[in-house]
Amino acid sequence: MASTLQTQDSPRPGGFPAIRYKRNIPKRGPSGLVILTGLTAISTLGFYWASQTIQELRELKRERIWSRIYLVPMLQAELDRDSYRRTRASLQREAEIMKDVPDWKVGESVYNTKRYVPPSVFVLPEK
Amino acid sequence: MLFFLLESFIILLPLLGSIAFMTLAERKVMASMQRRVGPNVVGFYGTLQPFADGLKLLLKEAVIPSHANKVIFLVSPFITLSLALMGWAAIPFAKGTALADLSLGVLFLMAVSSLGVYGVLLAGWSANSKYAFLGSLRSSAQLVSYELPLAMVILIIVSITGSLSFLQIVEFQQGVWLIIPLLPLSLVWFIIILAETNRAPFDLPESESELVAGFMVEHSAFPFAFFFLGEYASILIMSVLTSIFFFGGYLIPFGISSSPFLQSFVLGLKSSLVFFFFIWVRATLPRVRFDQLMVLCWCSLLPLGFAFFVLIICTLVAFEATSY
Amino acid sequence: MLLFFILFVPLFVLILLGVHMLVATSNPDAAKVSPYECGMNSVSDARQKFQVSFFLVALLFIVFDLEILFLYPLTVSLYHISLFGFWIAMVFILIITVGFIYELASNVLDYAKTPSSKITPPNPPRAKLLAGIRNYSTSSSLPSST
Repeated sequence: MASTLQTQDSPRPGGFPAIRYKRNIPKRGPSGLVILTGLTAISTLGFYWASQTIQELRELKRERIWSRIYLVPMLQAELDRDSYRRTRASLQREAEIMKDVPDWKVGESVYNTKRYVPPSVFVLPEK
Repeated sequence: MLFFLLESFIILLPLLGSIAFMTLAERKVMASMQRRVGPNVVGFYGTLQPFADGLKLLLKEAVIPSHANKVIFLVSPFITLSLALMGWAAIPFAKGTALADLSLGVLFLMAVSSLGVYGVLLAGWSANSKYAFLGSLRSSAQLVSYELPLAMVILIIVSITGSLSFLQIVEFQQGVWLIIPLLPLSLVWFIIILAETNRAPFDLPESESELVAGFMVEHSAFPFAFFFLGEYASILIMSVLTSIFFFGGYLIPFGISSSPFLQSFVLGLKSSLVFFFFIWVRATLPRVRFDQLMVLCWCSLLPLGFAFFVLIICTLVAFEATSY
Repeated sequence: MLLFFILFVPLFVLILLGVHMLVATSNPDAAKVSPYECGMNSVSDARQKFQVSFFLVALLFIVFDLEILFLYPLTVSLYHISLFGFWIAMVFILIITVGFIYELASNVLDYAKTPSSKITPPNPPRAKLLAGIRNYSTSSSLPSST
């Protein structure tokens, strides 16, 4: 009697594929440490550039201030020369105008002091 | 006098026009993000939609509730819009092209923008409606709280550039755009500007599902339009401020020198990108809870701001790089 | 120019409002001008008591805003004040930090945790009543227990 052929329930030839037990989590980007390091690196680089800029701006400002400081004696000398010329011209004008007045002293100070008082009025040339 | 008038209109009219197109841009961009079409009937692809809306609001009836304080009710939108437009006086659009190049421009802008709380407060109080009252409470608490980290961030920027003038802050960035040294702080700044302009995800004052429209629930027609314009004007000013503080304002990268026209165009481009960020966030993120909002401000952003301030002035002093 | 702009902008807004008043229709009726409450008749005045945290936020804002304003002169004069001024500023910031920690530790900003949830009732009905009062009170100085 032909017995029914018993077949064992065995794996198919070549075996089963591996069970996919790994979860497929989408990549959430770099880890926190990487982000922190990256941010620090970028900011440090940026701060280096920013400090360069600050130094440069400071240098420019210092240059501007010192160029002014060195220029001051020259400007002062120009002012002195100009005010002397104007004073002389004003005295001449005064003498010319007041020549008919007998007791007039040309160039007498209008202030009650013997100190030098810088002139407060300049006569500008007429157009 | 006539020249002054002309100059004011040169600022104001393009400003109002850009606000109108901002609303359109917001609707269109959000529609694209949500796979809708958006307004596309009025004008060419809906370009005239904001003007149609404005005209509709102009012709609608302004309902003043019977229990409201009528004068304050009308004054509050007036205050909001005026203050939102006033801040534009100090913004440099290109090199030497500002309405008033103030040496304390940053302080002026902060003063004007912090006065905006009054509009919100008065609106909620005068409307005498429970939604409006709750909305104005929330909104003023939020605006007031987020002003501290805002001031902190500006403080840090000022301590690096050493100047309170917008023009000098921009000119400083010829060396490096401030977003590179202040990259962590710029993230804080982006959170703050969202909260300061009452935008999603921090739009608690007008959270539609709970408070209908927040403090402006009773305002209709043009008073409502004033709030709307004021809000968008402040969003625009925050976008421009972001590009001035972090993205080099009107400067073109790689040191390309250019005409004032091109410079102001570049400023507009940068601001538009920041405004796109506003819309993007609104379409993406859900609303936070109110206590989370306050805890975020007082327990995270403000200590972070203080810590960053200390770090930065210490760095500047240690490397002898303090601004002159 | 700035002054003109500051004066002109409110005028401009006022003109807009005036144009609206001229153009818009106006025929109010009783239902239209009643306070909006999602279709219900409003039961009471809207100006009710509110949570004390809102008030505390305003108070804290004043303190911290002033402190930040004190730091503004520091930032623009960091070069001129030298190391001495810098250390003075550091001491100032230290004092702010101490105050800030005190503020955080005293749970001022806990909106979610209302005072009622913290009370462990020794005498339930009365404590419940007190908690109920506390929830709607603007004052936090009520006695916490019997």
